[in-house]
Amino acid sequence: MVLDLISQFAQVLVFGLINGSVIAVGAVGLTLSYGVTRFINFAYGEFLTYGAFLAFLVATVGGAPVYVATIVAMAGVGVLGVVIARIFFKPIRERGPLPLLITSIGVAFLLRNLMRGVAGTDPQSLPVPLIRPISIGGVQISPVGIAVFVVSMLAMGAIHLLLTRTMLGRKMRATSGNRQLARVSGIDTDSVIRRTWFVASAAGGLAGVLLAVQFPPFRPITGWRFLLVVFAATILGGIGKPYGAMAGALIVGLAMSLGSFYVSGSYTLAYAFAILVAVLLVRPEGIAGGEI
Amino acid sequence: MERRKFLVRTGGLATVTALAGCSGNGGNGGNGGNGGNGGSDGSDGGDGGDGGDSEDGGSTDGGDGEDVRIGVLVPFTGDFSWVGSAVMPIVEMMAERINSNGGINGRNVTMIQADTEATVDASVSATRNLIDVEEVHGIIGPTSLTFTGVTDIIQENQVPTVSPTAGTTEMDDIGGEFIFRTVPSDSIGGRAIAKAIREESINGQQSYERMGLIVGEAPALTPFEEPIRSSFEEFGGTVTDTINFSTGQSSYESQMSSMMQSDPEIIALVASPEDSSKFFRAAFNAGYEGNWFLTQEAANQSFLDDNEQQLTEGVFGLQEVADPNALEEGRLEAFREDVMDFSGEEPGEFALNTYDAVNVMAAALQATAVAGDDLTRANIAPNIREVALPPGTQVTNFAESSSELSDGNEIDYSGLVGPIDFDENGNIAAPFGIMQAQSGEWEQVSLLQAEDI
Repeated sequence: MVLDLISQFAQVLVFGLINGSVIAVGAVGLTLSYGVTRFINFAYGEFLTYGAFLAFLVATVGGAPVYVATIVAMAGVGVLGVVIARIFFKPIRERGPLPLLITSIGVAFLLRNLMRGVAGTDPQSLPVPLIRPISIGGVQISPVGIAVFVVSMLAMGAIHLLLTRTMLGRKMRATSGNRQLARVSGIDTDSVIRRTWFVASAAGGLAGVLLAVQFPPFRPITGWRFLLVVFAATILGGIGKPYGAMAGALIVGLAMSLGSFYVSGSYTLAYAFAILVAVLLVRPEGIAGGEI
Repeated sequence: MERRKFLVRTGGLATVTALAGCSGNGGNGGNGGNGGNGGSDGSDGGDGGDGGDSEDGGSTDGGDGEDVRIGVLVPFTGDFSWVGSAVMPIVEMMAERINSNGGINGRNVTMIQADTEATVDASVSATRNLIDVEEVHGIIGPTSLTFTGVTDIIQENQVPTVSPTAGTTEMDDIGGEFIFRTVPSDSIGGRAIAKAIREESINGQQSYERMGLIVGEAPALTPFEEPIRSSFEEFGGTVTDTINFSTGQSSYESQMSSMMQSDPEIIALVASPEDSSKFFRAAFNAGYEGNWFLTQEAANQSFLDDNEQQLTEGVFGLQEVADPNALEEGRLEAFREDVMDFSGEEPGEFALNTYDAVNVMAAALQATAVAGDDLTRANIAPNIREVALPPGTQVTNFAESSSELSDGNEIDYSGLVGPIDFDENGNIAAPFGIMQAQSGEWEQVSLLQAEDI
């Protein structure tokens, strides 16, 4: 009986961690772009959607394996992010965060409805094989879930290395800390911002693919819906702080999973935000000390 | 696109998911205007004219030359645009046919699209626009998604309304005077599901005793919960657990685990096809070995096409079926060919229901016109019941209705969905098919006649 309860709890934890790992990739991307650009990008959810659909296109029409489709999708969405930033955000960059934020909402609508127009509203799924879950001590773990978790952790690791071990990472951190100071010390901040857009958008694309792999099917609205959870994780972690976003995402994933199981399945999103409110009451700057 | 596949037996989804809330009091209808405030600035006092509709018995009679206008009130954009895309070709085809058969006593029929966007707000303004600006004679629609928001406006303005899609139980006892539907109520559908799960003679598999119930929280889904649960208990079964979930989440693994604790033999799942897919996967990942029963919402071909056969094999589903007489007499096949000729596509979901809805509406208009009455909404509405119910010569299309009515005969319309005999609340009885997914196709395992449910 007690064992049953423990394995149940472990089961729910596993669901939460896998869910959280998908959120984490998105949250890190979002927070990276915030760190350098200083505005909350509401069009970020569309990067997830475009990632999923691009991978779908490459995998079904192109017939490529899913991992190839994933890489193409990341690169494609990365470029898309850079282009979007150049067209819509760069011209109003000096106007402050509010015009940028409102513009990003407009861009989100534009991108989403463009996708609806092209792909239709029917749900789609990536060609991922259905594999029976593995049972470990009464806990069912799906191999696909494990793969998603591993890819997510690898992505986190890659971003960690990028930030700490590369010149670009140092420049990104410098630009994020103080753009003016970074510029006078000889950093080409425009180039750093461009590259950050690429990395952040590519992370969004990856999050979209992981979402599509782990929780099919997806539609043009999927990314926009998921954005809310990604926001919760980002703010929980302290906006602009990549490590905070990772922690925040896992906490949000666990909260939704535990709440849906032990309290009621009707309020999945509410648990994410209840935790968010609770943490912000105690630590208004978020777990890692962001700026909002 | 797959959604539009025509299954000879299907009437398609009776209900559709919605994110929209269902505020019951969506509009203030034809109330008397505010009378103007006669304010001291003198510029604001003249605004009291609107809203006289209720008194003059439903407006609208453009006179002989003008077209007869029928509003088509369904979602044309957004996530439920497929409803509009399925309904509109049928409506347009019907308009063309009515007009080529002499129209409504010589007046052409024009169909006017009104987009509800599947939200209550948009549907209220679309309805107001149909009534106040377009001055329609009748409305085809709305859907369950926005039904509660617009019923007051429709009733206060006495607009003859026939919905081909709204199965919602909200409508069980408010229609009959102005509002009718050519789709059976979800309460009958829910009861059919309970009966089919409980009785081996119907499902051909086993008499399930322990049923779990999972219901999405959306206006088109929740109405199923009570009929399924109470009927299943009435038939001697046990509902092991009921789980409600907020729709549109990325995953439902926790909800599924929670359901599995109650160890059901079968789960009745009331959810959109998308959420149903997610539940099926969550169940697979959690090692669920029981069966499923889906409502019309998800028991369509595209659901089977979109999911691995491994997940869907043996699953039960409820589908509306066409009237056996219509099938036998070849009317169903003739309809299918007509639609193919007209639109180049197979008839989609709700095609049969739409055909019947437009035919009933057109016959009621014709009956009003040939009786020499003005084509006002209030004059038209009572004729909906007249043309659909016996006594009268049985008719199955507008050409027949029109000529019988012109000859001064009473008519009794019989449709593709069923005999379309409205009860006092504007509901119809129709048979349901109990389907089972076999090798990626829905096969009918039995037919539940309306009187058996």
